[in-house]
Amino acid sequence: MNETTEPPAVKLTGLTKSFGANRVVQPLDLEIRQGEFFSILGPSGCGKTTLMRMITGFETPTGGSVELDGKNVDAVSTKSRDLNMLFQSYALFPHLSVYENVAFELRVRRTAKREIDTRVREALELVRLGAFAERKPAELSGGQRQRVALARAVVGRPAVVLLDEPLGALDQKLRKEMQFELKRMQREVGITFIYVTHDQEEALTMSDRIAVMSEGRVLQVASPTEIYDEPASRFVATFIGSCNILDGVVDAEGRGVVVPGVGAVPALVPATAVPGSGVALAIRPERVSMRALGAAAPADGVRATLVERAFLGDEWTFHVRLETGAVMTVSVPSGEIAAELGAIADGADVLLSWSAAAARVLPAEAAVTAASPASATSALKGAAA
Amino acid sequence: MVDVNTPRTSRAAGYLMLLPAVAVITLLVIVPMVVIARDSFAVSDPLGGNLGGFTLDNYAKLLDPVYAKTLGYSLGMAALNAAVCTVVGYIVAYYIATRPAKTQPVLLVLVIIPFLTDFLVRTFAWITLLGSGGPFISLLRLLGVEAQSLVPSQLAVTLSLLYAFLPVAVFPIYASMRSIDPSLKEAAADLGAGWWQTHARIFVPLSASGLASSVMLTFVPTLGVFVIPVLLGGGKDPLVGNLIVTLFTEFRNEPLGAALSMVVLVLMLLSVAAAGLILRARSGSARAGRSRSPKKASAV
Repeated sequence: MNETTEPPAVKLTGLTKSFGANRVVQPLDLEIRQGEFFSILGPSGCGKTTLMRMITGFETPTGGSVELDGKNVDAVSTKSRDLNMLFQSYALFPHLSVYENVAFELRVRRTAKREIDTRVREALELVRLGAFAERKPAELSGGQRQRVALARAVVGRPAVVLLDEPLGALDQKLRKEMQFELKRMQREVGITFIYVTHDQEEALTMSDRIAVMSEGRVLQVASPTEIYDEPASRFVATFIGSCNILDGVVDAEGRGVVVPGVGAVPALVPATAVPGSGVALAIRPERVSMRALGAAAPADGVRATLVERAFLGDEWTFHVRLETGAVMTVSVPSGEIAAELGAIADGADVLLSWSAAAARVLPAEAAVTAASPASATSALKGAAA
Repeated sequence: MVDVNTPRTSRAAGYLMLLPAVAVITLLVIVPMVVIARDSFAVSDPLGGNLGGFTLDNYAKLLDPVYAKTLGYSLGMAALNAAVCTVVGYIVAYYIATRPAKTQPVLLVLVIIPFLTDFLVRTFAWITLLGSGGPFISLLRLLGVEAQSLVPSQLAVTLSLLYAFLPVAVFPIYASMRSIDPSLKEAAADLGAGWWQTHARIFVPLSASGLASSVMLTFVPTLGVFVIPVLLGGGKDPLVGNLIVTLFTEFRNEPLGAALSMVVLVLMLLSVAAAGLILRARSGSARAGRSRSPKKASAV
């Protein structure tokens, strides 16, 4: 695909929305490429659903414009926009069979009968529901209904399909299966998918690119690995996966970071960092290594006390308290846990270390405070799920 | 199962509590109906006296073109009124059902309020509204249109019938429309359906049960209306209801009036049965999805 000549599938310019005095979407610019699996990720109430509804035309923007495939659609109603939506509730027509649900758009658009049949069968094959054509939505399981909704959304071959938290109503196991299914189907049909979710795992698994939103703003647009490894802000670092955040100050030479009460710690300081300025260090729990502070001479590292541990199946999570009182999380894959580590008793002193590359220096912003600073609870990745 | 006595005593108590209702229905509905049914086969003397006995003459007399014409006209008016009420009721119900949740009850109360006033009073109100000194005619004259009083007229009858039965149409339609997932409307728009297609393909089929109830609840009582045609139609085009009143009171021919009443009753029962059959067929096919799932079909 040649991205320089092809107009973006969706281009938002200065798009903003207020409900009364409440501005839910701050003016934002965004470009979504053709054929991309693009996720809009953010906590509930961050404006992602409103943003999506402005793209579909269900909501009229307070300002800014929407372009689809290079054409401005501000004056085009939902029914004439070349996009379809997969609703959170699926919004299947209860009085119509699976077949008629999928055929709905083609019938409305007065497609020839024979073509309707071919395309509906194709779409049902895509979602593997060919045998269920005559059923009513009420006779399907949640996962099957979702597939029908997807078939209905793609059967008209729109340029863009928007998916509004479609996996929310499914159980955990089915959700994981559907993540891969959705990705497969998106590749097969080659339609641009815009996937709206609050679930960071879903976004990471499926997306080509992710836009992280908070309080009506897009904070970062990047690939899943970039979002995870190189978060641009404290909010992104803590919202995607779990992350330890240490507040520190860039040292006089501008090469290292000093955490008050702990001392100099390894960190990859960007060349642009201003010596003496306050920064936040973001360190992923799995990139911290922990050793018992034994009789051996204390090597380079940060001293801490092991507070508690939790077994999560695929990994062990340790909570340690630094001398400053700050709590950090360390995680170790359960298969790789060393006997030495297992032998450390709760309350024992430990030594933490990490490579400079693992500690990302972020601006010590106070602007986005939606996420509490990486607390021990938010770091307990997956424990709640 | 565990305690055999309690259900038995409570069942007896249940019957006891049903007694007042059964008594009321028996005395006020069943007994008069039996009397009317009996009278419809009675012999009448030339002065209208009820002589008893058994004859089919009364029913035979109803075949007279005068009566048949009124019956046909009534059925036509009832059908027209049911259609107009259901269409207008659909529009009103859709409007109410798509308002914010907080305003819906207010609008529903507004629909009911006129219903709390006496039927006769409301009908008289229409005479004032459409009469020569009323606001409607005054407005027309103000606009330079030379208009006479609209009472009595066919239009006044139609309007007044609509007004009288609209709430009866709005409620069942609103009830079935309220259970429609609002995202279906967006889904239809998203899939390219315009206003007409959205209603024809989604909202009308999904509120079919409410529409059928509305047709039935407006058609059947319209057959029995007798005040409106007299007051607003000048009695020129009587409905069956008027005819029955006339037969009983002016002609003093009770057996003939009773026979006509029985005919209307049978027509009403037939229309209710027809509506019931249509509804059952619809909901049956809606739930069972063409014989595929017998388990769920039985859950109706």
